[in-house]
Amino acid sequence: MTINTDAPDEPGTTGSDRRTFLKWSAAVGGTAALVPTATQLGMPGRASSAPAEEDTTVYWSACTVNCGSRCPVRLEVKDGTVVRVLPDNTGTNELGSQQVRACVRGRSIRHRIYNPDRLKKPMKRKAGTKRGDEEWETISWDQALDEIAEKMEDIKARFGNEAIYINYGTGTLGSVMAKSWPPDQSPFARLMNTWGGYLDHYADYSTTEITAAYPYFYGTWVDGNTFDDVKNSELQVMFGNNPLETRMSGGGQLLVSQQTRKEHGVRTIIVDPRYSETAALLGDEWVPLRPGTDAALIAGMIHVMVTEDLHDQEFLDKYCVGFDEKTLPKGAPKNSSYRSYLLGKGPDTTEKTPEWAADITGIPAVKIRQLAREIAGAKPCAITQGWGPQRHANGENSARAIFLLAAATGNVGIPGGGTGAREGAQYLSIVEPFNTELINPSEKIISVFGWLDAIQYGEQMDTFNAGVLKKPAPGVRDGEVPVDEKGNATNTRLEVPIKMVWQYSGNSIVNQTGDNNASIKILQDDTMCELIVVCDIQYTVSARYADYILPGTSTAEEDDIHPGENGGPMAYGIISSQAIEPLYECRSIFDICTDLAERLGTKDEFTGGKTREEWLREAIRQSREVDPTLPDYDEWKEMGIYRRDLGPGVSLADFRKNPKANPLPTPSGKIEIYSDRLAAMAEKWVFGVFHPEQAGDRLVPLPEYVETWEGPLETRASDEYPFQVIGHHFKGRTHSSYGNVDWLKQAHHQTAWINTVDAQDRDIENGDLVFVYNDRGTIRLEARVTERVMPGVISVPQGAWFDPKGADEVEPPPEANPDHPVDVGGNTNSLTSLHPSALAKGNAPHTTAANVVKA
Amino acid sequence: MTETPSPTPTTGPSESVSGTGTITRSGSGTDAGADYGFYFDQSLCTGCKACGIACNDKHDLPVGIMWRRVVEYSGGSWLLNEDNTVTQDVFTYYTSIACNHCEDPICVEVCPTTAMTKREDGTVYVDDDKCVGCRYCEWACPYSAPQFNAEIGHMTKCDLCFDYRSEGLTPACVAACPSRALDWGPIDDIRAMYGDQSGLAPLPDPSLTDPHLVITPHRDSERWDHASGRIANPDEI
Amino acid sequence: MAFDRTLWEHHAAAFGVLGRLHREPPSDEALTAIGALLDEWPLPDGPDAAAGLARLRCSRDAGEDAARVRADHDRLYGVSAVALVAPYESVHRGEDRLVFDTATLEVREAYRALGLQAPQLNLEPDDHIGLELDFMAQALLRAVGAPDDALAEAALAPARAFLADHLLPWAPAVLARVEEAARTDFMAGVALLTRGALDSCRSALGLPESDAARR
Repeated sequence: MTINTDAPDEPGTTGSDRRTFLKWSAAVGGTAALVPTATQLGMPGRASSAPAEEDTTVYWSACTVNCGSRCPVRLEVKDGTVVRVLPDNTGTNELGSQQVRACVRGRSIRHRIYNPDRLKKPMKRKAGTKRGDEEWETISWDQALDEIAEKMEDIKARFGNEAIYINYGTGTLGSVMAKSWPPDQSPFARLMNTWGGYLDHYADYSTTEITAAYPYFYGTWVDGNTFDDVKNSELQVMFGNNPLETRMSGGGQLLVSQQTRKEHGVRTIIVDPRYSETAALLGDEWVPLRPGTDAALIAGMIHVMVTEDLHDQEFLDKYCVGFDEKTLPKGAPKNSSYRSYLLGKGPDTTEKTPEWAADITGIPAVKIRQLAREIAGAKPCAITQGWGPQRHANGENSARAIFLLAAATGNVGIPGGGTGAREGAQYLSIVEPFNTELINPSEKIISVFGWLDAIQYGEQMDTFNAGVLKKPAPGVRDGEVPVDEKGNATNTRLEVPIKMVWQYSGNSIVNQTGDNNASIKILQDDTMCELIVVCDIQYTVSARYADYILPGTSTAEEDDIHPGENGGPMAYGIISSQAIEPLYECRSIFDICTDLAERLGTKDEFTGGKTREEWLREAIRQSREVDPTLPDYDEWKEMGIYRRDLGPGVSLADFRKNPKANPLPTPSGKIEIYSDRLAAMAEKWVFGVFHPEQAGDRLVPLPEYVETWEGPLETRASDEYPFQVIGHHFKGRTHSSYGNVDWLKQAHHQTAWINTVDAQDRDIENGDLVFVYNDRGTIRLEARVTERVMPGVISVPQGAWFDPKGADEVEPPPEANPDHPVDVGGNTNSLTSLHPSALAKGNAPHTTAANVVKA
Repeated sequence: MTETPSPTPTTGPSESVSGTGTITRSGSGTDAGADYGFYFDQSLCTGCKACGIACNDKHDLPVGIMWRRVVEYSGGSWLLNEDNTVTQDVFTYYTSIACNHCEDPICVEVCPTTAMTKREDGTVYVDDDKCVGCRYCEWACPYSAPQFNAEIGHMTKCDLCFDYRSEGLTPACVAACPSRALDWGPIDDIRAMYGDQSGLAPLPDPSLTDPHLVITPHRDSERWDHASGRIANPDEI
Repeated sequence: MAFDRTLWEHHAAAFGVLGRLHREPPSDEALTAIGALLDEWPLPDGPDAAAGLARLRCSRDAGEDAARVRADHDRLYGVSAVALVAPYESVHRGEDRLVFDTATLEVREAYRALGLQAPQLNLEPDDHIGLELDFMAQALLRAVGAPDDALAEAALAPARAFLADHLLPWAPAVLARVEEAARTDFMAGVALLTRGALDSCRSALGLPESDAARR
């Protein structure tokens, strides 16, 4: 029956003729099943036995996407339905206890929860169709999980556990029980750990190159100082750092950096190809540079400092190796120091004068001199980098070069200074036993960007040709530096190809990886990757390419813990309460994995004998063992958000105070400007095995500028693809999350930013539809003709939903590759390459050459 | 009404912090004679539009009606030098704008049915019973604050969240701003604290209506009568 | 004028069967049974009803089977994921184009006034077109079952109000889109027949023809 009734029987409602009604009802599927009998029905106005619940209740919830912030939202629920999203109403306007106001996306969360396009039931790709054909069969949960378990058993029997891969996904990284990242702490990883392990990846799509660069400079990942520490600075310099758009929470780095500026007014210089909101508001000066040329700018600046003796030689001598010949490690060739590189005594015999740097970066030499003098003269100077500079084919070196600038000016480890890394923040110690107590026995690990290669080439891949690494210890999601104690590079080989890809709450199957059209081709051959399972709440682009789609629950439908993120001096955490029932047939990832574990025979190990809620309580119980001042679970849940002021943080302060007692985890214990481990690896590294060798495919021991494929010099000399295309983070989406929310699409249009000068040359006006294309693909979107992007550069906000149209619907421009569809969603990865960066084997999305024409 | 220069948070029934935290309001939030208005710090606005979304959500506005809009205003130029370098003097700033509950509300003046009314607290609202949707106010208002809702056939506009204020709550846009760029209060208090600038491009000559609006200008802000830039996001406002 | 029980029973029958078909695609047996009954459609032949019956006959004669209809139904209404034409009132009438919005809660209230509720309360939206049609069927049946004509006439009030406040403002236009987007004659036919039934009922209840309902 379609509508239930609990109304009392009414007299006198029988006896009429309903022959027609009964006959038709019988035809479509049985009267009783369809319509209640008359005797169950009440009369109008007398039968309202279920009065409406007029009262509203407000529940603490959170926005859990990967924006680098973490906001509470309060959901106003009426009659089982979220009717409004309210902001945090606790805290103050003071840093350290700040109110955490959700940004425009968090405020739109109801549009994710109640999006009509939500996944509703398990689905299976129809037999005989290709991945991406989007022909689906709706199936039961039992059938879906039975079939997935059966296929997993089969893959395990034929290839072993390392043929099963957990793909990068950050759609719910801000939760504990619904955690999608890091992958080794996700519920499916726990399940796989009970069942023999899986193949994992190191790094992430946000930071592949800088993550790979760290060990060879600082020995490990280090943060910068916190943004509130800038109050101690004389000058702040940001390289591709854009907290006002990439850390948008009103309790996060946006607020920390803006309030610090408002109160202390420290002069700020922004180096970025785009006049970002940070450049417009936080910066006093904008220095536009060609994408991917940060290392050249820094070489030019340090050349000035060395020439004019403005650098901190004492710091370099005491804390660093390889700036000068005298501090080079034993065995390093002559003239391999950074100073030799600057003075043209190295292999390239080119002096790195400001004029040399000007030609590459586009920054006038006179400006480079001014910058060098100002930065060197500011004591102290807070130098940070965002993750744009490193998201390039030469990004490992850009990252190291910016670290180097902080070192050469002696700013590392002091208040008001910084490491040249991205700003840090204070955190609570939240223990997450559900996510971390089981260990993955697999000892090998691939780059986050290597999975499509591992599907195709599997056992051919090793350290030297593809960056396959050994883990430093069991269960540690990291790659060990592949150099042994004698200084020789070591090799680790993958044994099997990837046969199953699990994607939970992520959109990295097409859309967020690279080269959409090439990716699809690889994935459509289901003899290679045999099983793709996607679990999400929205029908994402990744879901289109799945074999099975499992509908998950949103944060509003769950209780969970959300550790705070990037609150500057304020450490905090949120405990959310389930506000509404799971919609449709949606199920939590804990329940899904529990039922899958049951089929694989490891249910008890997976659940650990606890319910979802018991795990949440256990997390807080164990956290309180570490930090007894934390509130207990029930108190915390009641208050929603708990905060604590820990004050400014200074990174590497111990090392600065006493480098002997607190050495860095590099072989020398010091900052390695010259890395002899990179030198050893460079001898063994092989290029051109899985991707054609290209300019820039080399490892270098120094943080020098390496011109690469599709870099600034290549594009400026090209008639075919004269633009560098970068993909900035923007306000309407977090990567691809919220990408299907109409409110946000209306408030923040997906556009291609093109400089007024370039647009004029091509007769493009603001708002015109344009094609941006290269050999790998074509996108069509509105042009935003603006002064705010450097000439020769096009910036397209990354993360839009790939929406390919065949030539029958949208004809590509004559110059574009006719083999590819036109992506009218405007996804940047329709243009980017699968060619990995040299050291990280990472994605290099901002290294992309293309052309633009009016549509 | 009182004001304190120190950043003391305001406390209401359920909203403990509002705006920049620098304007303290006492009384009911709808006091007669208070002449409420908005404060906007242009040097903090990132153009994120959380204010507009919060307003749309609070007032259930249909697509196409935005009582609070955020205008991007950009200008400057580029010089391509012979040595492959570039120089520029680019600038951008955002202005979040709703109804300014003007001292001389031209919308009230032109309304033929007296539907557009000034409350005793100085805020301007539409009397739904009287409005015939002639749109004179929309055409007259230099800020395009009154907007026509075709579905209900009459004008709609910001009332500075009269219902929220009546309950001691903060207007939705003010409470939403991640950057704390918005605040509200009696206009005299705001002016005493922040001065009296509101004639900044691309906004019109303030002498037209004497808006209850005070703006702390962005460093590159241009006066309304010395504008060199242009509205960069006409499609989004 | 005497209360025409047959007229209202016929409308209830039409809404009952159409509601079911919008909610769940028919089995092969049901398709056969419907095919055999087409000549006995209980409502008068307006243009939409006639066109709808014609499409359903085409479907029957072309041998469209349950699998095809099911696939089309899923594709149109997004049973598993994305809908071409979302079957929920709030998506078409709400400012936010969302499910579980103002209209959903209003419809829930209307159901409750007759002691009814959606089968999957709070899990699936109450304002699915199939549920709204079912509500019409049940509301009309109550009138049909009333002990005397005066009470029966009075008992039409909830149906009249619901049709005017909920179905008419959105369903005819959305059904036109369903008809256009359908890949099967069956789904197109069901959409047309539903438009016809709504219009017939509107006229019988003495409601004015609205601009929105016209194509």
